[in-house]
Amino acid sequence: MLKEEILNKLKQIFREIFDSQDLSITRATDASQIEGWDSFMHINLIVAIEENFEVSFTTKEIGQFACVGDVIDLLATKTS
Amino acid sequence: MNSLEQVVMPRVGDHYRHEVLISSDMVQAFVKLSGDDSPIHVDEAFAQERGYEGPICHGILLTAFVSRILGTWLPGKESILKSIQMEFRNPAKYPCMVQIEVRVTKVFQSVGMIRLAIEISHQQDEIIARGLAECVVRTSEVAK
Repeated sequence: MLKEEILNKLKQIFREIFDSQDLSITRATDASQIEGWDSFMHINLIVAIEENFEVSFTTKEIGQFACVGDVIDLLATKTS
Repeated sequence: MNSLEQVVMPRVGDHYRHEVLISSDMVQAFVKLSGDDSPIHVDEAFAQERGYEGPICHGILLTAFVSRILGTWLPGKESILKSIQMEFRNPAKYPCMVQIEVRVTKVFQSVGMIRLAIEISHQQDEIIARGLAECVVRTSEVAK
């Protein structure tokens, strides 16, 4: 899957999870830039990503996510 | 040894079944606790006039026994309830024996979350309610 396609799909997931259609998501977006990104929302987000992309992450993998770009790169590997 | 080190993530297919006798005393206690004293739950004539055999148990009282399973058996004490949905299909006239079963249907290992199917039925296998719960489980694998 192309990284641009992944980003577009992630944008939809983020907007649904955080209930905000105006949410701006780029590769550089991290948790500090989105209001309400707490530990429970983090679980909702990861579960939604895993289900939408039909992949599974490990605890170690999600621990290494620092920004949306890291998620995109890993998804590109897992869906290739 | 920290007890957390002994906790393992449940697996898909793990299940727990529990039987409970729903008694009039339980319903009265729930009325007192919740303040829900709707006559459909406590008034024989009122319930019968509305087509029921007699007063019916509160759906949330039945759901309380789901909480008991989730918190004490599956997944157990290292878990917290994240979400729950229930759909009630048939009334439960009390006193009655009900079976409550939860079954793990999906495990999200990365975030330590499990999804469980819930089924509440009469002994005669008539479905009273079905539902879905999500629990976050703190295991040694997730805590590391």
